[in-house]
Amino acid sequence: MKIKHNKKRNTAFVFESLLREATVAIIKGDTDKQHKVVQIIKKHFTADSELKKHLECYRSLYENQSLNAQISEKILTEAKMASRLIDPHGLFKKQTELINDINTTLSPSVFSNFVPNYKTLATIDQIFCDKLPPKTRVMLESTIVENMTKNAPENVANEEIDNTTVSCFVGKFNEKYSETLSEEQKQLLSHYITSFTDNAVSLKMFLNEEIVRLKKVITESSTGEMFTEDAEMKQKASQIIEKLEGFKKAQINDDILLTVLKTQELVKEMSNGSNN
Amino acid sequence: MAVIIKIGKEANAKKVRLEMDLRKSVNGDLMIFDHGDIDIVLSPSKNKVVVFPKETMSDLVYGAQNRLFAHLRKRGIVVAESIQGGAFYGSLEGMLEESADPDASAAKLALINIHNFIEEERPYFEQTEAIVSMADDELLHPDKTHSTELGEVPQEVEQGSIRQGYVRDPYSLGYMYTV
Repeated sequence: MKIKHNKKRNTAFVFESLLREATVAIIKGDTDKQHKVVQIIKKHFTADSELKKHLECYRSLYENQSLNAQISEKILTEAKMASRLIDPHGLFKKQTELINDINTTLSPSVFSNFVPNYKTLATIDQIFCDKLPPKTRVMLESTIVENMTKNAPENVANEEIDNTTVSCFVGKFNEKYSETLSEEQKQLLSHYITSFTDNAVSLKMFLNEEIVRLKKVITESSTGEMFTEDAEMKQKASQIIEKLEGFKKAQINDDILLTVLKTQELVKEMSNGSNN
Repeated sequence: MAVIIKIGKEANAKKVRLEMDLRKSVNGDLMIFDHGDIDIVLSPSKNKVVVFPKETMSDLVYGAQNRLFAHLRKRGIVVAESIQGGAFYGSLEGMLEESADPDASAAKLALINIHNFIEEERPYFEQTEAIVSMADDELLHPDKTHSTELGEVPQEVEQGSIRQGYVRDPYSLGYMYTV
């Protein structure tokens, strides 16, 4: 039998949602909302309130506590006992008041806040519920005990990269590519790399100018002696111009960037060839 | 109370204050992101205005581009015959007129006029954004008349238009036409 889980009646979930609401308000600098959330928490989760006692029962069963199985089972038994000692009618009434306060003072969207350990909270809620069949109850309890015995995940902090490392990396990059990449190619790549910051407008602007330049150089070169003598080369040049013209209708993608990079290389070779 | 008296040419100078979602690129181009359909680039160094679609090109986007250049053309900011499609996807560009007055920069005048254009258009594109957001809301958070309670929906005794045991149900008619 599947028991319906009502997250609004899950004290720990509501508490975590309120904490997340307060955090978002603090980050956004919305002091009015922050004050409202804190007032609700202070009002309903006082030390001797039923909601606070119920919350403590949930909290004692949270995951990643690095405990051994025996102690975890003892805690589980005690938590179940403590939750049974809470007056269910009083708790229901207090929960209704809390839900009402959230709906009227804040917004019902508080209940849609993302709580990472939502699954665990729902499992604990089902364990505290008396309607669960024995088999399901034991299965859920073993899951909770298993989660409690797990170690907290280590925070893998990104190693700080100091200026020396960055300058060394940049130096090596420049050493490798300074001769192979032309100035225009470097500009294109740098615009591409930073394009996420401005909806790619600076990249589009650069390409808008660069494609015109490339077309102009190829068109001018194709009137030269080398192209007029060789029909195949002239045909290839007109194909490139046609391809560049086609960028008017195509959205920006990796293929376009690659084509522009190759055309820049070709233009560089053509201008070097004409100089030599 | 101290009284400040300004004397000279600057005394009667009016200050223009514009509030825009704008970013200046390294080469000095001003990228304006306020409009709902288009991104506008004002390039003082190249003396031109280039307009790109925000997402994909459509009649709506072309309409906005066309209206912007018509607005700038009517006010003598861009050279009418210089307005043309750019080399890149969906772009439209136009050259700024040379300023005859050395004190009035063409780029500054263009910026003021672009700001005025955006303010004129703001009710329209904000309305479109509001309608899109409303449609999303209707799908994600439907009201009570368009939604059911979460969880198990109670089974009805009779579902749909086909009634079991009724003489005209499809199976009974099937028997009638059996050879």
